[in-house]
Amino acid sequence: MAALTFTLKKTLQFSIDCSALTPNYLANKSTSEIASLLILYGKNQIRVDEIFSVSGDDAQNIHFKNTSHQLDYLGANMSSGHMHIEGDAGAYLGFGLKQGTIHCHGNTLAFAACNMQNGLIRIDGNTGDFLGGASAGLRKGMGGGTVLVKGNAGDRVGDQMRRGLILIEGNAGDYCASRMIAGTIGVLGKVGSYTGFNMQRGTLLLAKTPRLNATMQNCGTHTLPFLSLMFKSFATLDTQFASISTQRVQRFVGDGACNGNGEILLISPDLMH
Amino acid sequence: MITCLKNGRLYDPAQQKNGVLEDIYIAQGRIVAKPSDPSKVTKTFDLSGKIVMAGAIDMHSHIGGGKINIARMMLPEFQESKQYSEPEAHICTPNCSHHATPNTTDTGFRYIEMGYTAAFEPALMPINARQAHLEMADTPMIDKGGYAMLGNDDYFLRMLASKKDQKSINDYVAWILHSTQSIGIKVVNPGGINAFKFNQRKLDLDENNRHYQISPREILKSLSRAVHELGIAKPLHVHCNNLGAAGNFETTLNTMNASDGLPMHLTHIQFHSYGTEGDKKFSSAAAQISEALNKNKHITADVGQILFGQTVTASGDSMMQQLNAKHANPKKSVLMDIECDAGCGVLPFKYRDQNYVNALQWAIGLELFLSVEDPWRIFLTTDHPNGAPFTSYPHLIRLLMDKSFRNEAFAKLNLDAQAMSNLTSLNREYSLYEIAIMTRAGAAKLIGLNDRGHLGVGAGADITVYTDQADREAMFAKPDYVFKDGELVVKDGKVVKVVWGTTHTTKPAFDIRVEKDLKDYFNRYHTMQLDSVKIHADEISSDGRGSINVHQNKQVSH
Amino acid sequence: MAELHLMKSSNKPTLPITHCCPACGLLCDDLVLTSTSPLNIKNACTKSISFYNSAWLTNSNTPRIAGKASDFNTAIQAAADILRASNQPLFAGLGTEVQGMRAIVALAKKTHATLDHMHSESTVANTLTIQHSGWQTTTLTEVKNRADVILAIGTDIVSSHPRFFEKLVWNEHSLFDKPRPEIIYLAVPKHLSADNLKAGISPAGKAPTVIAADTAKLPEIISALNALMNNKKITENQVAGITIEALQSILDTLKAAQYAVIIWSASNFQYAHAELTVQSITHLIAKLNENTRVAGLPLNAGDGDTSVNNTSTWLSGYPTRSRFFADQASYDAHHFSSNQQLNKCDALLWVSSFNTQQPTCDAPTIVIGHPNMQFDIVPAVFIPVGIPGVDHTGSMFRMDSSVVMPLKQLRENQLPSLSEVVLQIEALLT
Repeated sequence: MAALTFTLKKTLQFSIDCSALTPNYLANKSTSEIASLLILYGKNQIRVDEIFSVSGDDAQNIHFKNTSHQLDYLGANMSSGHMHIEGDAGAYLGFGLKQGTIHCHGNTLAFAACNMQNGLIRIDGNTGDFLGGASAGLRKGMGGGTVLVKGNAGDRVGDQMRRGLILIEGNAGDYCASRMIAGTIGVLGKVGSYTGFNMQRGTLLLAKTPRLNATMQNCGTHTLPFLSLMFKSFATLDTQFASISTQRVQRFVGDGACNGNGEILLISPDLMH
Repeated sequence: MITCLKNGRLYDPAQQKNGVLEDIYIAQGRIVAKPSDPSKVTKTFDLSGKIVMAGAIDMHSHIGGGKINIARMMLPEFQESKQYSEPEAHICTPNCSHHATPNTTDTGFRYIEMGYTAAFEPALMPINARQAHLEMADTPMIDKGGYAMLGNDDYFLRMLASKKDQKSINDYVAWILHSTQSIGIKVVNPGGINAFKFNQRKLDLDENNRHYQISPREILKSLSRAVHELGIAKPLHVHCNNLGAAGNFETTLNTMNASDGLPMHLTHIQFHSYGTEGDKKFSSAAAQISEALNKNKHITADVGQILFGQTVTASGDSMMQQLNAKHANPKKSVLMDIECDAGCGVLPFKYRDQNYVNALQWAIGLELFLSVEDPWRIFLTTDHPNGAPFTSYPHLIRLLMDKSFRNEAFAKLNLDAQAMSNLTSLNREYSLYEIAIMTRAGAAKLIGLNDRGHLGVGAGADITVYTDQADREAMFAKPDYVFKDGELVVKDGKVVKVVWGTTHTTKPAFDIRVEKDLKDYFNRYHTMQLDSVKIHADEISSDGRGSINVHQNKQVSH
Repeated sequence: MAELHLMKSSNKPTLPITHCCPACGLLCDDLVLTSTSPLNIKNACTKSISFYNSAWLTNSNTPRIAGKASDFNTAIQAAADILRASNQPLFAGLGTEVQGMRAIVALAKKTHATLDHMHSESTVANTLTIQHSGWQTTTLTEVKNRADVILAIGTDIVSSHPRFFEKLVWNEHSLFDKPRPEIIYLAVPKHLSADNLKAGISPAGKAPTVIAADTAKLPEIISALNALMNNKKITENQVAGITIEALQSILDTLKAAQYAVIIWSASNFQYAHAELTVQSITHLIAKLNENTRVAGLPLNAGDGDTSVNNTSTWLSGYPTRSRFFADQASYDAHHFSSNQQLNKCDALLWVSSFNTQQPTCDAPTIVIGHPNMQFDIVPAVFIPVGIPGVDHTGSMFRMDSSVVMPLKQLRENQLPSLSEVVLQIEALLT
């Protein structure tokens, strides 16, 4: 069986919703059935093969090639299988992901891992705002699973995040961990303003000193043995976080503005500054 | 052009027809006598084996006005199931959360598709009445109407505090009916919404509003008398003090006496039938409440049944909703003080069958339904969307008509709640005739809709045709036909023609001089002029769809 | 005993005429048009004067196609052709009232359009707050009769709502004999005229408390107020240049009030993620209400934003930043913004019937709007329409969303209403 492969045939004028092109939905469909499925493009429902050339037959293993930022909702609500995006993705990559893996080789737009419940998303490039956030009206964002970002993330990483792990090797934008409820976020690069804004609980692991609001309490430097366990648990993941092994951190707690007990843990090398 | 509905089995309690085989003739939107010349019948529907009732009337459903729109705005996630791109197509169940806040088109469609041909917004805030009518104007298929809220407005409370005579109060009440295009008067937490603005957090029936030194009892007495003396058919619609509070049944019992024997309707009485017995200090007082309802013939009530699932509670009762906000699920709430007129509180709520209080609330509602003897004085509501979305009515009807179905549902509830309810000892099963009373004849009589809710000659031809099925939920969920004003608008449970209903109002006579003081009051204290408050009839009819239907008042006996 | 006789709206207004002014969200209905040449209107504020002056300058009833005068039917046809050919039209601007919006939504269903209002960048901060945690608010008449403390955050109020103090704060009469409100301005934007703060001086000459700070620092200022409310220690001596004592004093004033009102204008929060600031303000209000009475009052931005949002919500289930596919709507407060969709749409329908705000878009553009509109980029089709409340009647939501005011017709002319134009376009698309 060869991976089911969608190769984008043309430059898209409008974004398309790719949530129907997932293992769940395509299982047991023939290539010609898949090619004739209808998706919404602008106001028209058009056949999948007007946009993509379709090949392969393994719907548990889906590849998107020659992709662009116009492809929204890639891997939405997947509950099994693997998706490889050999290029950029649009908004809502891995929306509501329940199980399985998604690997995006390029950059994504906003709301990657929105409402994600479990599984793994890896983004080799940069990602937009609201990584691991919640869709309209929901009071809880990402509820589980792991997101690895090799590049930078935008603003509001982990907004209302409820559970799970987000590890960013590059920088994160403003309001990182805003309104975070629980879970863990790590950022090796810089973070922007208002880090931990209205954070309730959860852990934000930083490698570079953030500028924090006056409502975050500095609790001094601590040795936290559980950190060894945590870093060890990263060993199976393809991330630079796996090579960290310190137990010494500077600890901040907040956000006092919302009676929060979230913690921001600052690891070396800036530790002594 | 006469249409004949042939061989149907009629359940028409207004004419004491209990399953009578009879033909109905329709001409120009009305039910007419059998024509002497049979050739005039141009269309015939053979209804052999079918059940025929008048179109159902929901006498209490929050379908218009600001609160539900706030709920829609606050809860975009309730609409989400409509995403057309979702691979796994969403299958609607009666308790789907998006039915809690349907848009206006869906509201009209879902109602008519269940055989309902009218619904009444029970909390039309006078200052917000124009919005309510705009929303109802965009609600297709069904007739509409509203009960104007009084009793927390500073104008009325000032009148009471300054001991204005009853005639002045009657004139004000009548003026409100005219200017808001309403058919009834409602009071929500009498005096309490107002007291909350003075930072009172609770108000009992005989406790004074801190500023006005007026008690809820005095408000009820004055308003029920005004409604009675003006000859308004619809009794004062009362949402009692202490909604939802454990032990509130005593307030409810005492409220029944507050009108000195004049008619009052106690709404969503389930939420007002709570005792304080048991380990959890929360118990059913359905027995005491239903006993009192059976005894007090001047009192009518609707139940406000809760059903399990996600919904949203939207109430004018800002005082109690402020207390409830901590139970919101998901945790968000909109609370407002509004225009020295009233207030509102909107918060989502999830009723869970394994939660002790919720499970007991479910049982209390059903205990009330089954223990109140006279179906002409108890009405089927869920206080949409507060207890459950109105789309759950077919399910509720089955719970009332099918004892084993009811007891099976009961057996799945929180065990502590089961231990505190006598529901399984209540053997009553509602008949089709009784359901027709509750949802048709009784509701029409209560509101004063003389030409609705029955199948007699002269009635508006709002008619619902069902297939008799043992599964009453399936039966009431999907009528074979619905006729609105004589037109076939629903076939096999789906809308086949879009129509726009009328707006039912009442306009009792009054002394126009009431406007002199009102005008001065608005100029001094309000932020709009009196003329802007009044809703002109042509605002409702000028779009070519809406119309106003003015109902006659009762003869008044002083 | 008499029946109540309601005045039927007349097509031929006779002067003087008392009417409601749609120029800002207060919707004052005590304006009196006494003469039209020269234009004379009693109780007009600076904003309404410029609104009515612009209305009476009206110079064109003529539709234009690519800048050339056209008859009405040809222009309607041209607009319909653009929408028929479009795959993803954007309906933006949306400067209209309830009746206009009803027509717009019907057309959007037919053309699968995306909807956004010209001021939604500010409205959305409030909408997202309602959707996240809700809020506790009040309305104008309550403010007039109850407020004894007014805290204005990031706004001088009068630059957007000129008669606010005259009508609601320094009013002679109130229901409960309350004292004159104490006024506190916090972090008012520097670009607004300092003179505007004089509106906060009481008739007896009592000056308001003015706490200057950079408006963009409001996220940390409001956070500090919330932390103080939670009795949490603050790690600095000052926040955004404001001493902790000054912040504590604001809080003490709010706590001591009988009925405090906190006012903000999201349109002045011109920085990213402003909804978090609005939410922090509403958290503070909710917390204060555990013991005392405090209510919020968000100021709107204008051009019918409140009407459009409400109408859209009851018709489709969603506020604007919605998209239609036939009768079904979807909603995305982040992606369906004009800013993003102007680059993605293949046709723009721009509506601005109160003001002459013009669009900038590369896609074929239809403008239905104020007869005085001038264009930097000539639109494919321009159809001038009547101004609601001047040329035709209408229904408009006040800023507090709880009152809908009737708008009157003040003059007769040839201009059609927006809804008439939109209905005709829609009819051609059947």
